[in-house]
Amino acid sequence: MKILAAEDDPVTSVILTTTLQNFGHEVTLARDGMEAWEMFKREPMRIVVSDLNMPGLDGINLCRRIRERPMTEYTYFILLTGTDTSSSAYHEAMAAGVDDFMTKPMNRDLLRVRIHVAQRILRFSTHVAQLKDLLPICVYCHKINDGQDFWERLETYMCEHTGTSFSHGICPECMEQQLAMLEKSAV
Amino acid sequence: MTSTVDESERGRKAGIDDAEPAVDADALADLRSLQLESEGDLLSDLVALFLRTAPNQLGIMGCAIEENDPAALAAGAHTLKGSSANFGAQRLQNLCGEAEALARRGKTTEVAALLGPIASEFQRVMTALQSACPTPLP
Repeated sequence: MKILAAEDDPVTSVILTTTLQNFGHEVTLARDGMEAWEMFKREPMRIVVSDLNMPGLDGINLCRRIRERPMTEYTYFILLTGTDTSSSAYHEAMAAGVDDFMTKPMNRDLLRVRIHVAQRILRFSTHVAQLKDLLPICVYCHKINDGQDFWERLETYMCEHTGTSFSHGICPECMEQQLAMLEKSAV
Repeated sequence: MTSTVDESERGRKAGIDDAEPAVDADALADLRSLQLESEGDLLSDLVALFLRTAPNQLGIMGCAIEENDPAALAAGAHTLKGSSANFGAQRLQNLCGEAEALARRGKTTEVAALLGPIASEFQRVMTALQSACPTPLP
C-alpha cells in the first residue's frame, strides 16, 4: 500500500521509511509538512504517518488540509507525538481529524498493528462510500457488481456488506400480477 | 571548574548518574533488527547520519541563543531530542527536552546554561555509538 510519511528529523525518517518498507509498503517521504502537502495534492495517499512538530506546516495542520481537500477518498492519518505532548495538542489533533496517535521513538510492532487497523478501516470506508454513492446494478436481473468483477444477488451483497438480513414478502403490485398469472394459467 | 560542577549538579537533578550508559543497548539491538539481509549496515548508516546532523542542531541552538530566537531554539532542541531518542540516549534526550520546554517559554538565557551539558553528553553519546558500530562509519 502507498503510504505518505512526513518527518523532518533525518534519523527518524530513515527508521520510519525502512520500517514501513519492511512491512511491504511503498513509502513516499516528505521532509516537512509543506512538502507532504504538495505531494498529497499531486497524489493523494490513503495512509499518512506524520510527525507532529515540523517546521512550516505541522502535523495537525497537514491533517486539517487533507480533511478539507474536496473530492478526496478518506485518508487514515496517524500522528507521531512525543512523550511530552500536551493534552491540548491531542485534543486539537483529534478535532483536526487525526485518526490515531503513536509516541516516538516508535514501537515497530505497534506501528504494524496500527497500519493493519488503518487498512481495515479504509476497506470499510470504501464499502460505505460505494453503498452511499452508487451501486452498479444489472438492469435485467438486478444483481450488484461488487467492484471486483463479480455479480452478486442484491440480498447477498447487502448481507455481506451491511449485515442486513432480508425477510421475503410480496408487494401489492406483484401480488396482483401473480394472481392474474395464476388465474390465466388456471383457465 | 564552576561549569563542571554545574553540569554535574544538573545531571543529578535529572536523576541520571554519570556512570549510566550514554546509549541503550536494547535500543541499538532494536535498530539492528530493522536491518534487511540484502542491504548494507543500517545501524552504521543511522549512526553516521546522526553524527553528521546532530552538530548542525547544536549549531542552530547556539545561533538561536545569540539571536534570542526561542522558536528556532525550541525547534533545534526538539530535533536533537527526537534523533537521540532513537538510540536510547536518555540523558541527551532529557537535556534537550528540558531545553525545548524552556525555549517554548521564551527562557533563552536559561537554555544557554544547558548548552554545555548538552554538548558534553553528545560527546559521550558519539563515543558510545562509534564503539557500538560493527563496521567503520561511512
